[in-house]
Amino acid sequence: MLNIALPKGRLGDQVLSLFSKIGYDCGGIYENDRRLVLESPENGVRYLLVKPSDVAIYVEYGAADIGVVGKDILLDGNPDVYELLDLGIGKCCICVAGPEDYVEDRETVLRVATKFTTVAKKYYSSLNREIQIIKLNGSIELAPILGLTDVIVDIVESGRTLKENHLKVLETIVPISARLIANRASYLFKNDTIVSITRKLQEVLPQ
Amino acid sequence: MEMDVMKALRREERITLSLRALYEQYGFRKYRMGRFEEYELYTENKNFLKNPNIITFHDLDGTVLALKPDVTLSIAKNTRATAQSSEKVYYLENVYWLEKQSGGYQETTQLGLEYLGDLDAAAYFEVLCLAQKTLAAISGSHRMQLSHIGFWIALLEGLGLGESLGQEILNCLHGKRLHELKALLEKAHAAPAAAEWVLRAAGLCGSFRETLAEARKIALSSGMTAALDELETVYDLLESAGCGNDLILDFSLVNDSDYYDGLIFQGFVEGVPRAVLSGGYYGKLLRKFGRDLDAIGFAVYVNELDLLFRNQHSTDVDALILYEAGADLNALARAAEGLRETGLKVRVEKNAPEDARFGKIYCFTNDGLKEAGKEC
Repeated sequence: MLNIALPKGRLGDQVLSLFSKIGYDCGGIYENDRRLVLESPENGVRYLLVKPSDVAIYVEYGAADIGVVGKDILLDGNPDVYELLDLGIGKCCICVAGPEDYVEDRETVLRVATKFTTVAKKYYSSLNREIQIIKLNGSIELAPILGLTDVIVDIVESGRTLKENHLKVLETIVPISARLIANRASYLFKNDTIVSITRKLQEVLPQ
Repeated sequence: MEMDVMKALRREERITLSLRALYEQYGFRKYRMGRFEEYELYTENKNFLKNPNIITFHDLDGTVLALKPDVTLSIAKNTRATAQSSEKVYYLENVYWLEKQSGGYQETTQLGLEYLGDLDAAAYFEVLCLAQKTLAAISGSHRMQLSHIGFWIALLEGLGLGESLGQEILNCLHGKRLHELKALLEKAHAAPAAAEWVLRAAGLCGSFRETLAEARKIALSSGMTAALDELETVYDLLESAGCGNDLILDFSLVNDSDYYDGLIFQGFVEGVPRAVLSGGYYGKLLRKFGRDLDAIGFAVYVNELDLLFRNQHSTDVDALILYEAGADLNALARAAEGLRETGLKVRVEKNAPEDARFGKIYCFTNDGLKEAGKEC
């Protein structure tokens, strides 16, 4: 039985339909389903629906053999896993955003609100810019509005949330998309299945 | 009565002991080192360590000392090996490093061996064979990945891709991120032919003979061919010794090329999600210490084995004897001793303790022992 960790939510639904296209249907309705485990014994797979930021942990620690996760999570957590494929779905960017009329004051320490602390630190250290990070877990857009920080580093998909909060993208740090990852030991012990899934997924992906 | 000493040991402790006996059989001698090491050793060789976080403190004379995060560096620095007289040592030591998930320091046990001197394929074969035997001693279901970092060093040099790009390429390989490797080569404006070559090499993974044949097709330089020849020579020896099973040639397995410049390998056992064994040839490290010698070795991460055997200890004590107040304590002691003499672990209690699992439960009455269910 191959355990596959998927992020709960829209991306997970997209990935489940991708897997069913290559013959790993979990045989049922999964949208709005509250179950955390979907099994398909006839296909030899078990899907674990977990919080997106936990997918890589399940795979790294071997509770799941493979998984699908956003590159943002991989960049921030740096888990020791194989990253076998860029699925090209769930595309977005990690960006620096600030108020529409923002002008950077280079004389002060830049205050940055983000949940991607590793990515933000690495980015600003590459620019040799001193920053103070304030870690937030949600509604990051509020931080510059309330003067908590100067800018935010966050995922931007369409830019609509930013616009509604009178913020704009200042810099794009890195483009993001969903990746197929595998546990290092599982890749050896379940090699045939994992290689075959990778190949089949590659075939159905939009070029 | 002769006590079975081994019975007192946990499975991983028994394996550790039998591995020590195995290494002794091959002439490796136990090496015991001081608990601390000068911090400078690690600052000068930062990239040799998987994890740069080290516990440090000041000695009375002001020297900065560290709790060892690694054993190989200390052995390599202090080796007495010469070209004429090799050194074969094994160690069982505690090392200290940062555990990423919990964000705190962790003490872990490493069992490993190092072979230093003027070495050739015979020595590399012996170490790899011992790595295979080590894995087999841990679990019947195991796999070993083998690669040669010299193949990559020669390939990247031959294509003139530069050091920093080379390092980024190796980083991509480590995660098998071939899609990112492709993008990286495009971004760096690598010549299409060079990029093609790198991507073909990066995808080489599979059973030894077939993968080696594929690798030979892209061996551009004498350096690459030499690396493949070395792999083949050692594999031939392993195969004839019956140690070649479950071995995978995987050129995505890389290690820091500042220290490693030859064979590298990693071992896995089914049931543990990470490598339990890791090793390789590190002649380059010795040359950094001014010693023109060969060196190869590996370490077993003993703590990882805990995962494997965690739920396999089905009982803690073989027999529990329950007695009631007023029982004949002399007869009780004799009955318990009688069971112990048959080799069983026996515990005598008035009430069944909740913190242990028992094989059998006996009730003691003045007529003797009577096997019971959960309670008397």
